[in-house]
Amino acid sequence: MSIGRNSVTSSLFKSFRFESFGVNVVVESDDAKLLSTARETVGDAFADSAQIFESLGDHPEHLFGITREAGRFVLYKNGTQCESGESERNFFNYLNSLLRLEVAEFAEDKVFLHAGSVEYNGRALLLPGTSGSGKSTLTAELVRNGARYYSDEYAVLNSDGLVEPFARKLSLDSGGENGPQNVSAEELGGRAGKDPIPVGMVLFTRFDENAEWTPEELTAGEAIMALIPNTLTMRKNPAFALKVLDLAAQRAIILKSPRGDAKTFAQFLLDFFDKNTKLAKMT
Amino acid sequence: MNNPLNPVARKKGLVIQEVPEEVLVYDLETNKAHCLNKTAAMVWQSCDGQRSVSEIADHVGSLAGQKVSDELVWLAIDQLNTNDLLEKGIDVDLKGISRRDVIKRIGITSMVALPVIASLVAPPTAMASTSCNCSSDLACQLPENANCPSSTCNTSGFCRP
Repeated sequence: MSIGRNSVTSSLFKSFRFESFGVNVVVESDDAKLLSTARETVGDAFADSAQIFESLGDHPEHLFGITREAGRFVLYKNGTQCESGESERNFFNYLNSLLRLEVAEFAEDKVFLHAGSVEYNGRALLLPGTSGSGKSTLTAELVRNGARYYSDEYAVLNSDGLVEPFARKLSLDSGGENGPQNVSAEELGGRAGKDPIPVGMVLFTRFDENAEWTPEELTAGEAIMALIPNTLTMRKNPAFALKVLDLAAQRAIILKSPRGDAKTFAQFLLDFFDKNTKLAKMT
Repeated sequence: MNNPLNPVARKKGLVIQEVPEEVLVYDLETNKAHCLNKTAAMVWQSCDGQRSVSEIADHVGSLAGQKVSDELVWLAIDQLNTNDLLEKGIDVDLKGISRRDVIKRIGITSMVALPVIASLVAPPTAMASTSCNCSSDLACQLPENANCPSSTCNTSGFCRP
């Protein structure tokens, strides 16, 4: 019997289902300990944005199987082996990424952007960028300075162009050998947001220790073009993605500028955001 | 009646999103996104197969409220050709003048902005979600990628177990 396909009804396998942003995913294993770690991984990956169920539902479309073969951790997706590795930590880190990607790709009425996001005075500040651009560090500093946390890695836009929370723990560079540390908004002295909010500002920025704040405003078209490389579902449903990006951009100020150290920049950015989004509301 | 020598805007296989002052076009065949500035968009939208280049210049001029030269339209058509946004390619007629010189001349004489089309290829899902900075299998072992939780990454920077 193939793990990760047609095995969900077998007593040989244990499984659970989770639902996140309307996507139902079943994870199963023939090893109770692996399944338990997978359940913790889902908790880490989605935090409050996923619900875990014991019942499997009628027609699970997204099926992941995990097992051990010849001393290796092996991952199956819909019955086909997709990856394997010797390190348990790396294996579950990979599973974490893959599950989030699966949800991001198949959430039908959402657009997932690779971006940090926070709320300040009722509006969202989006910080698009790939890993290494410093967006998690800046997001964390914004939360420490009073902004409400919405997302670290993927900002989620709904069909009205509003930002929804995807407030899993922030992944912060600890500078140590153990890789990034996962930290909650509460541990930073802040809170996570709950409600959908309009975008107030999109800031394309990257850390540069010698940088000066030189904001340049982008047109709506330029902004959407700049967001496309960060949009996960662009190829899958471009018409929907473009419509949602347009709705989000219509209400927002869109800027690009390099920035200096996040600790000193965060409060300045919140003041700048507050002043300019209030002005934009008035006009 | 269409004249086969007149340019016709391609519509099949495209997703079109109009935003203020610009038009975004997504090509479903190539996964390329194009942003047409106002001038390029006006020219593109005027390419109905019935108008000649001179008639497109007149039409765009009336929309813009400024005189528009044939050369400016040819510049736009040149870019529309390059980006596969016309039904079929049109031989661009710049009267033997280089594009650079045409741009200079239009830049001095025209009140209407030069046509500009910016393009990029939309990334596959996994590339848009890069979980680390690695660009090759070995890159995740470099000190600058110490945050990468993996020791083998694929070329799109997606950490492997």
